[in-house]
Amino acid sequence: MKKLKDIALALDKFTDRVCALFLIIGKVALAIMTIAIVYQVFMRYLFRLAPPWSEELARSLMVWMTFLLAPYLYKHNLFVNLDIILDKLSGFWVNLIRFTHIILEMIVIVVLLFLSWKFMLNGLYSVSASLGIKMIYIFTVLPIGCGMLLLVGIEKIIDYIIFFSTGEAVGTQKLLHLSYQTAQSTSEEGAK
Amino acid sequence: MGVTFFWIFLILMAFALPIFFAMLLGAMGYLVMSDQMTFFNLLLKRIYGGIDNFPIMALPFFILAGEFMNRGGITTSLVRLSEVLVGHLRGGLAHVNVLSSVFFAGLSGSAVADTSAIGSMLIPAMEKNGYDRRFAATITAASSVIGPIIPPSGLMILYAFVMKVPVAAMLLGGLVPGLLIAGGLMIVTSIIAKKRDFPISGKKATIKERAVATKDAFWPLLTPIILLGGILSGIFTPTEAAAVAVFYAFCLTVVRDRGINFERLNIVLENTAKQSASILFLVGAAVAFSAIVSLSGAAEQLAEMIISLSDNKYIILALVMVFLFFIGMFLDAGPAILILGPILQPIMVDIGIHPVHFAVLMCVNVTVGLATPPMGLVLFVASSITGEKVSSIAREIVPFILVEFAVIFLIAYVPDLILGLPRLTGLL
Repeated sequence: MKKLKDIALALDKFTDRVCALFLIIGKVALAIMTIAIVYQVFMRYLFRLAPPWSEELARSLMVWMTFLLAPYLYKHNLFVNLDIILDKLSGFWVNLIRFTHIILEMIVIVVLLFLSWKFMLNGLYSVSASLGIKMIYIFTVLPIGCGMLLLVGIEKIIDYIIFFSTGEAVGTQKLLHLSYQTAQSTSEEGAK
Repeated sequence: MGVTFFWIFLILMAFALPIFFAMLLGAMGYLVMSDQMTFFNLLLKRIYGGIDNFPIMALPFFILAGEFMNRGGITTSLVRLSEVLVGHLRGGLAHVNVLSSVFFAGLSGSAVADTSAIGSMLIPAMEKNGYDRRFAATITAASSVIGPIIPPSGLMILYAFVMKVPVAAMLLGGLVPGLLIAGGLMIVTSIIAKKRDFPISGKKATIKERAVATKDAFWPLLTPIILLGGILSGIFTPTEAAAVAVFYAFCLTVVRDRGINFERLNIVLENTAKQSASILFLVGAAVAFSAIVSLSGAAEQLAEMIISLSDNKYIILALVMVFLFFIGMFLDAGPAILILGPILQPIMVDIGIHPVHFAVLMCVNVTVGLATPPMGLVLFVASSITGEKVSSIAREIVPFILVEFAVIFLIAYVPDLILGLPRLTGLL
């Protein structure tokens, strides 16, 4: 179990660092895509000279931002869901359902990773219309995002195994318990 | 089998599986069960197509503009303007709360941003003036739903993109319903103010005071005019308008209010990136899901089920409105639109409802759902600002929700309240 815990901690540190890096790139992508479209509007209406590349650049950056943030959203449980039934259940059932979630999510992630790899390779043979680069440079973010999702999913499974066998919350389990406690304290403060 | 995958999706979603995964599992389930696994490629292509899209880029831009607006002193000047206009009435600050939401709606288009920005400023002021905290939290939550109804509206852009409805007509179509809701809320407020003997905050503002407040709020109030004017006159597309709104909000915050530094800019970008990515994944999954809905013929089966309930279009419309109101109690507005829009829109068009009419109706309905218990998002925000229990705000909000529901029925049966302005301006 100690070895598994070491793996979990190492994985947690690694995914944290990658998520932080991806978040920075995502923020930069958001800033550049905004500047690109503002530039497009100003150029078109002030100088009647619309740059041909701005829209495609902005769209590609939006794809990059979205897929790079996927592992962060997944790790911090920020994908939108409906908690109403789960909130009414006891701890055992909640843990069981959440663990089942991860298995189901992993099915989707593995399929998406496989599809995105094929999708990326298709980009080898096509060139972007206005940026003039191979589409593979834009599509690469899909397997990168899905690959990291898979890694976070594996981390979640390991963290659950540790939690089920020792009761100790590490990595993503800690995040889950933290968000649960925050929600609890908010509703308790509300009650006061 | 046509609708089996839909049940799979609903069950998974009910048991808290993130909607993105639930939609894709439902879709994959259908393809496996119907032995059409060659269409798996379609799923990723649709997700990618849903995200790699210029019109949907307006969403992150509007979120970003709202984040900038929230950081500066813009809310203060809007509240001050409302105060000099209606602050002298009985229950003045409650009216100020509603009117501030109307002004704020022209800038941000988000109910949560409205609740937190206006609530954190006006609720303490209302308490100080003798209002009970529960009522202050309630009126803030009830009026915040105006945010996504009066243009600009992120929610309407989302609907227009997924269901291919003209976005400019939708945005303009939301103006009258938003003002009707504001009027309805102010009437209920007046009745409650009289009944509970709420205070009159001060004397009527002088013309000079009004002029000063208007001058102060002038630049922020110009935002919706620039946005709508630009879109309606064809100067820019909604996405470009959203980018211009970001630029304008940034300039106002930096130049006028000096309300931003590098650290804050970093937070603004981080919040926007997280919110945008989360909603864009939903959009991508919804586009993939709706492809499977049409492939499976589920929409036709559900349509037959609904149409078999009655052959009177007004009865069906009423049933759908009640159904959406019920759904809004449990589901957030964005997911409700993404999940139900592709199914309900064709049915309503089939029975003779104008697509823009239904689009605005659905957006208004699920937006009101943001303030209805048990899962109303703005109730939770109002609760966390005030420390009042969600259940006590939920009880207090009932008369306000009733008037909002009455407005929904009014705009459902008088289509010109929605379609009139877009028709007058030649958008329809």
